[in-house]
Amino acid sequence: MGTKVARKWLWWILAIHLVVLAAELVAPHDFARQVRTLSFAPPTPPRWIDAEGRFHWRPFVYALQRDPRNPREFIDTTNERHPIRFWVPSEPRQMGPMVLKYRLFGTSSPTGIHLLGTDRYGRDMFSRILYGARLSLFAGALAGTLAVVLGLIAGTLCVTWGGWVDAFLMRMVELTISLPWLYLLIGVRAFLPLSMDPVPVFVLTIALVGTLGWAVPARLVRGVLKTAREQDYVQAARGFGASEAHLLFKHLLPQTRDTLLTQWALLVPKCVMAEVTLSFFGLGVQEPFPSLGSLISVLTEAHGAMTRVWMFWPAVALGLAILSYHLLAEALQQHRDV
Amino acid sequence: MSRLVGRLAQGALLLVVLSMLVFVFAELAPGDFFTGAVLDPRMSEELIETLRLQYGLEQPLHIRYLRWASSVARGEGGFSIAYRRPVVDLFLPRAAHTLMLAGASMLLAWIIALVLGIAGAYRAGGWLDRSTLIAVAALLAIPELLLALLGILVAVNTRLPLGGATSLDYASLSLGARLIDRIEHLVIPVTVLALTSLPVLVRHVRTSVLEALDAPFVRAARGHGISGRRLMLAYVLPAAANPLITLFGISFGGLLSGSLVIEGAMGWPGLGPLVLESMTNQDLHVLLAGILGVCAFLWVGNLIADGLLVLIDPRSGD
Amino acid sequence: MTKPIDSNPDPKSPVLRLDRLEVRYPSRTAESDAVVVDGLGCEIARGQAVGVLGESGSGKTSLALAVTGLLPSEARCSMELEILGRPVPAAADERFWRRLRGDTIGMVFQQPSLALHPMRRVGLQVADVLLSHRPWSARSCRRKVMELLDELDLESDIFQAFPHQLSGGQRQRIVLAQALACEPSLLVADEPTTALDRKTEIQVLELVRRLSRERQMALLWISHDPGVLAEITDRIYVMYAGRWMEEGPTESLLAEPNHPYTKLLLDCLPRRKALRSEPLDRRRLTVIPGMAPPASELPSGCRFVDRCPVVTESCGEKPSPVPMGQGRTWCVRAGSTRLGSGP
Repeated sequence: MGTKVARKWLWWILAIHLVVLAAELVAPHDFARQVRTLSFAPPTPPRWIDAEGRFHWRPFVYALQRDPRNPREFIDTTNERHPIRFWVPSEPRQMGPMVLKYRLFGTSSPTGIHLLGTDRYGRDMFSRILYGARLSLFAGALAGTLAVVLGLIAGTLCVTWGGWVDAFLMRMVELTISLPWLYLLIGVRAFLPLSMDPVPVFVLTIALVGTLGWAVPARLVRGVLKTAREQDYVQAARGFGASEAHLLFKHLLPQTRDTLLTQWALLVPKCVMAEVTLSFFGLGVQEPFPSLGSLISVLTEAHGAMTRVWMFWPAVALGLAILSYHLLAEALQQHRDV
Repeated sequence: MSRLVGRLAQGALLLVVLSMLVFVFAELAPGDFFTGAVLDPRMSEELIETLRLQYGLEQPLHIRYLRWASSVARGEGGFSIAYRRPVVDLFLPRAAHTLMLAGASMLLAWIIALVLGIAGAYRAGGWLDRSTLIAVAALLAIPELLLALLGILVAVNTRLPLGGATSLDYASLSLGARLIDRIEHLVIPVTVLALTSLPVLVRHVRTSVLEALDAPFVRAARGHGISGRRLMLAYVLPAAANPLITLFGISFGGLLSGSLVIEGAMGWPGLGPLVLESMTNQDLHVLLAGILGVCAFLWVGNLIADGLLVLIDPRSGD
Repeated sequence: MTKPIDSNPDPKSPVLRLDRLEVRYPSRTAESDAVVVDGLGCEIARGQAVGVLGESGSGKTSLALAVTGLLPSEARCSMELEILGRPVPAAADERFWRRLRGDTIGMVFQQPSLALHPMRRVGLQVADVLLSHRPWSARSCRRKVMELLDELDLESDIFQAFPHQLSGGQRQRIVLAQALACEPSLLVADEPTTALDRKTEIQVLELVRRLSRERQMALLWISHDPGVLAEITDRIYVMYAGRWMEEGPTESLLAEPNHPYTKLLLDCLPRRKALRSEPLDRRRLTVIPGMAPPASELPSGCRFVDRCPVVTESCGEKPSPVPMGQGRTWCVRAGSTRLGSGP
């Protein structure tokens, strides 16, 4: 029962990651493309019914124009429909090792398609959310993996070496858990250069967040291994002369699998939030590169973003992603309890 | 008593070691306060060099540390280059605001957690227990940053003020109006911060009370017909208090992290934004004060928890 | 506050009359429930001391918990129970039981070190029982506790002590004081002296014996130790895998057991005299071969059939009690065969 639900959520999370991974293909605009005339433009939703009430099979958008009565707002230009087309040619872009010459969808509209509106500089929010989510989610997933791996190593060291290594590492675990993680994170981050280049910042963030997350998995792995070592068949195998290394890799470590998986699912949302919080405070990747954190921080600035409903989409996207991770973790935990 | 003195000495030593560590790390980190100024076209290189000399940034590490230490001994707590004034003047009002925010939300969160946790555990599986658990699970899935955003949304749509601890015309208000003004400014940040720490507390209280209800001496007391309020107050809660006090000591850390997010997001003039700012512009003395202040806060929390543990446990008296 | 069962109804009715007690735990893994107690009944008259003898796991603790309404919530229990001649309703809830417990029925628990709250002064823990059942002021409760402490040969300054400051015997006396505080008609004790050393154990047993005589208080004393029951009880029920095997007056039952199980059980005891006189290499402890059946896979007939040395074909049927002397034996062969000297 539990595994089935867990698998469902795992597929869903995988799907999110795939979509944001292919941001270059899926996003209809470049994340940094500014159109100053389209500052805070509202979303242009795909439509099937035009202004005259006629139905069209192919969805379309209307181009935007300034409202003549209120120049701060936009209205639809309803005299011409711009159908949404798939696989539209575009300027060539690099995506990983590939050169892309297409986008997944687009229109011929002079103001473009903005599914979730634009920001202050007229940048497409939908595209920025895709790119930002890619950064935040992958930073979180990789940092979570790093934390689990570090925890596994530390927990294994505790059990195999014992003695003062065990005592020292467990003291460190307690210390790490009792310190305010955000101050710790920001504190360490502050002593490292505020690099402008997004790739080193990305790697740095992962390394930092992952390193700070080692404590809980380490303690759990240690507990599981300690119990596992006392099991009858492990004792028996030792009695038969199995080497400690053989025991560790063949019998003990496989038993930590469920714990590690659950821990991973619990840690990843925390790590995503760590990256988001860093970017929120301007300590992550720098403009124009988006992260969910920097996209959300716009809301607290006094440019009137609060009053544009579509500026909340990054927060909604983040909430949904975090919720998905939590549901996965919940399902995994239930599976383990039964 | 001697134990208390020992703990105090231990804490002081910890702070000294920590301050040295921060100095060393800052030395290792590239640049100083004026690194950013190089980009400023109005600042000539000569000017920056003179400023560096003026603030003693060219001195060797130990001299700088000793100068900072003597400044602390004079009660100035170092000097902020960014604000050009002693750190104390910056630090104390900010720390007071953080304490106000953290203390009020801690109180609120613990009261709610105790009520819900105890009531839920007493009738485990009842409607209150189940709805509490569902609410807690939902709350746990909402990151503190998003809760802060929700708080901002609420503030925008109500009359409640947001940003700052007081209104602009605070100085001109009467005493009663000042109090109301302060409380109005506190409402949203405190509520949001309390909500972020609430789920963990509720779960812990509930588990501790459930465990206490199952303790052999509580079952024995029930076997003697002791029940209701007497059972709860004299038997269950003292038994549950131990893990809860430990949690109280640990919860200071999470509270500080949460308060940093909320201070940053809501413009609450606490320690968080000050520390953040000092980090980005490498205003070392302010940063030091922030880090040491945070550590002292944690340490005091631990001390209180330890003291309470000793106080409630008769076995520690012998 | 009116008691659910008046402490002074018909003086001739027994303090406790139990019939058809069944306790089962729904099992998570196995198909069938675990039947821990299966169709027990017994009667305890005023001032009478009844012992239940059984190995650990025989269901004797469940019996004690059932008659005090303290079974865990997942247990399913059905019984016909009368306390002082008044039936306990089948749907008796916590509110009903908690007025009975500590007042009409006193309860002494297994380990005195666990039964006392480590953070509460022991005098207060005794007073709490009184405060829960009597509309008395704190001061008169305190005076009553002082009397109790005196009656139990405890110094009065123990009132202010915490459990960790007391010896095992003192703690057990405090637990007894709690149970006796409201002068119950029935004292249920579940292996209360097992954790004590032999000397303290005998002191406590003598104390209980004296008090039960003075107060005409009935005892339900549960133990795995025939020696303890010999000291304190008038009548013994032998329990195995949730059923009675044999019951009878203490002396005759211990001297001449009729059921093969009782006989083997008593053979397991190291006889002190024999131990002393026999040379070291011949001191052997006998054991009953095999293990008690798990509560989810009980044999349909006699529960002891798998380990009994004198099985016949009719042992596959459920035995009905056979009167033997002043007692009864639940064995199809009882009376028809004199049992041999064991295996």
